Amino acid sequence: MKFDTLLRAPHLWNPDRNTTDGVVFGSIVRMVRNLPDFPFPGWSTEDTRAAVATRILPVIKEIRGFKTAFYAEMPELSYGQRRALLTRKQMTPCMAARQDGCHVVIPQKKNVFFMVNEEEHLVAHVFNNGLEFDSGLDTLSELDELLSERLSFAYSEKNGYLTSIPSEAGDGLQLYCLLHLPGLTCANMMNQVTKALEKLHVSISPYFSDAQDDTGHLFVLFSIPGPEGSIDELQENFLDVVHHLVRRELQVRRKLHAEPGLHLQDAIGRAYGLLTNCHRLSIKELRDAISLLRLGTLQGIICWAEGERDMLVALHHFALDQATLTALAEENGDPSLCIRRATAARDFLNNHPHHFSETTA
Amino acid sequence: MFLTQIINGQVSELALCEACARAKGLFDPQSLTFAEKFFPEEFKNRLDKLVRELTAGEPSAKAPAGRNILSRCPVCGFKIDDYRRTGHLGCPDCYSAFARELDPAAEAVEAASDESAAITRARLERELQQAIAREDYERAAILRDQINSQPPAHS
Ligand SMILES: [Zn+2]
Ligand SMILES: [Zn+2]
Repeated sequence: MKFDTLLRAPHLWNPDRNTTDGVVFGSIVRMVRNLPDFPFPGWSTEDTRAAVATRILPVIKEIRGFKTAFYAEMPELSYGQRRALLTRKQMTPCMAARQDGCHVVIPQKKNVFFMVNEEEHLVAHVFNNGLEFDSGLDTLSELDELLSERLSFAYSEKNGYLTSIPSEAGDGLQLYCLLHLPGLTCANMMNQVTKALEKLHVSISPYFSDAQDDTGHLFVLFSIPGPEGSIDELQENFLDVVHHLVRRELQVRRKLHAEPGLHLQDAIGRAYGLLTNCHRLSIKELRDAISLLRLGTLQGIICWAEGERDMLVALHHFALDQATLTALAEENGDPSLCIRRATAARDFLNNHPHHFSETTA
Repeated sequence: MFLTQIINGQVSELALCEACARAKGLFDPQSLTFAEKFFPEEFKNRLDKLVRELTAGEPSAKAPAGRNILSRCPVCGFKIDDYRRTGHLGCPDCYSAFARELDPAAEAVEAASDESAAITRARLERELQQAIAREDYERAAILRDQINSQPPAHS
């Protein structure tokens, strides 16, 4: 498969389909495995990385649905293509920095992809809409079984699956959750939240980690694996934290909405005004404005003919598509990009009939 | 390998072979150009750290030396100092090579047995002094043998 074909594939992220007030829009389960007889990727030479890839790639290719996947060794991918994959969460920042002997395998129609010689020899990510880890864990355990028929993995009774970072050894599984937190961001509470999460062994980072100016309202939550603790405990702890954060976000949104100063209504109206009237639009402006329109939709401030659920998804996909286009285009230094982005935003709003609700105070 | 990087107008020059770069915790030196372009902040931090370490010279042996820990993995050549610096290991066999370092429980047992060995040795030495003082040379000889058969104490 060609890179362009991969990008034309529809988004697998459909936020809000099965949860929780538009806060959680996706979940990722990460599985890592290493071959026993090779140094970890960070300590290996080009030759050993190539040898690892030669062992692993044919096995992946045999898995159903992976024969026609997109295969690339990292040097084949431009910076822009890497950034585009980062935006779609089909690559990790660690992987984006890698070169020879490091490979990505991304099927078009599956919610899973592989990286070979990322931080570990073999890394698989499964993503799902909403707050949903169980099906991801099931998918990975099936894949693990298939892979284990042909590959043996570094494992010890005492430490479990061995990883390049010892504190991550064990089940070799990690959990991520993607969140839209415009309330907490607008209320300037993210620093506070970050500190609180650290104590709970959860880290949070901006979704668009590649951009220098990413204030954004999208975040990635990551459960830091503890010294000992099964995936079940990890999941339980992580879900507690996510639910807590969701409640907090909703509480703050309600508070902002009810505030007599109308700051939230003002911010959403200004975002709308920007999108409908500007002639040049930066990607940061677009992301922030779309985020506020989603918030306005969730709070009933903006009403759409198509209905709330579908529009939340459409808005989200629009922002992601624009971010992907930007990642690819910036490489070419296209000077008309800001203009085309402004046009795209206006077209988007024209194509989706809507009105503002009367009750704003 | 000779690296010249310009970050925020400052020129940092580093002369490194790939092995040295990796030993300094700079994993996969190939990724430098990308990292520089892609994660300027992170890259700068990493490079600053590297420059500090290079100018500070080798880290002093901060580990208690005499504990029979392999300082280098016999399979992949990764050094325990590099683990202490980076939190990463070199290969799956590093787990057994550095088992005591990695398992705080084992280290505690180790430390406890060290502790009891030290106490035993101190008691035997005290008894030996007393035996010599009372000119009981037969007892002193037995005690001296017992002391010599003890594992060497760590300070
Ligand atoms: Zn050297
Ligand atoms: Zn090793």
